[in-house]
Amino acid sequence: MAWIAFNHPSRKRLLAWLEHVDDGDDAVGGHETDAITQHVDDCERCAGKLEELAAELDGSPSEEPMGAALRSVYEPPPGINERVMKKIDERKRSDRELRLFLGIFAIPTDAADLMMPDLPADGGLGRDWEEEE
Amino acid sequence: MSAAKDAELSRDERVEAIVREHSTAVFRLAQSVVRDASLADDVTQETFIKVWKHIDNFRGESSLRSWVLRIAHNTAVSTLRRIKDSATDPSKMPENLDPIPTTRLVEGRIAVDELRAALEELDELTRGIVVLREIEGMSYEEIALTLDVPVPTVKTRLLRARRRLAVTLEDWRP
Repeated sequence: MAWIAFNHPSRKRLLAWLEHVDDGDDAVGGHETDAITQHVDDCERCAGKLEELAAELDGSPSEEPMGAALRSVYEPPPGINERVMKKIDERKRSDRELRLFLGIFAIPTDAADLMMPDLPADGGLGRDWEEEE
Repeated sequence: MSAAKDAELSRDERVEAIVREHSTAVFRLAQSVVRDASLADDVTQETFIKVWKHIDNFRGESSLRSWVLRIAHNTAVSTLRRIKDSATDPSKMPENLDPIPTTRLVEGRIAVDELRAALEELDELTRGIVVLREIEGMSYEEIALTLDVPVPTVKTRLLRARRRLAVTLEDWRP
């Protein structure tokens, strides 16, 4: 159908989007970037076209140097494991105190868990991302 | 020692092993979302408290790594949303909490701050995908499952991010 074809970005626009062209006649502006990003997220045809375009382009980066460089940007501070375990120990202590307190008033601990959930019912496998604006 | 005490000890040992194995990946994914090392540290701690609390409910429907990283991602997104909701002063927004440090060189050739600036231009989802693929070496399918997005989204975001980051890395090659 014609209207579907009209909604697909042209090869030229896909290339400009892929290459982050931000000046000149082929520039992809903010709104268009968002629109194309949203479109290719849902369109297998355009996603396939992008893979072809990327394969045709010269100078595809090898993955290993990129991984090494990225590791230096996202480097955890020293002592992270110790801080995590300390936090868990603190949480254990406060949980024990809470359960002791609840026991005094004969409140079931399950009720306390319901009052203070820290994971969604699906075990943290929710769809938080899609709720983002 | 009682059976309950034994079980608790074994559970603690299991959680400690999970922390040792996955804390770095959790921190990296968290930092890619919240863009601040201190906040990412908080998110990492919060993530493992959830893991400790719910490890007995882990059903094994995905890999343990996917499960842990998915909790981390959701925790990071929620943290970021909470900050955005409560921030009235623009200087308190995450992007300003962790200023770009003075230039450090990676392998003598690549400036970390340049790469960080290029990453800042990507959206949070794309940065997460880049971290999981390029650093953690996860498959497209595992990333899709972890971040709850379709596989084609993972592929196209990654293609574009690689093009952008390659330009930055290229600039620093001799």
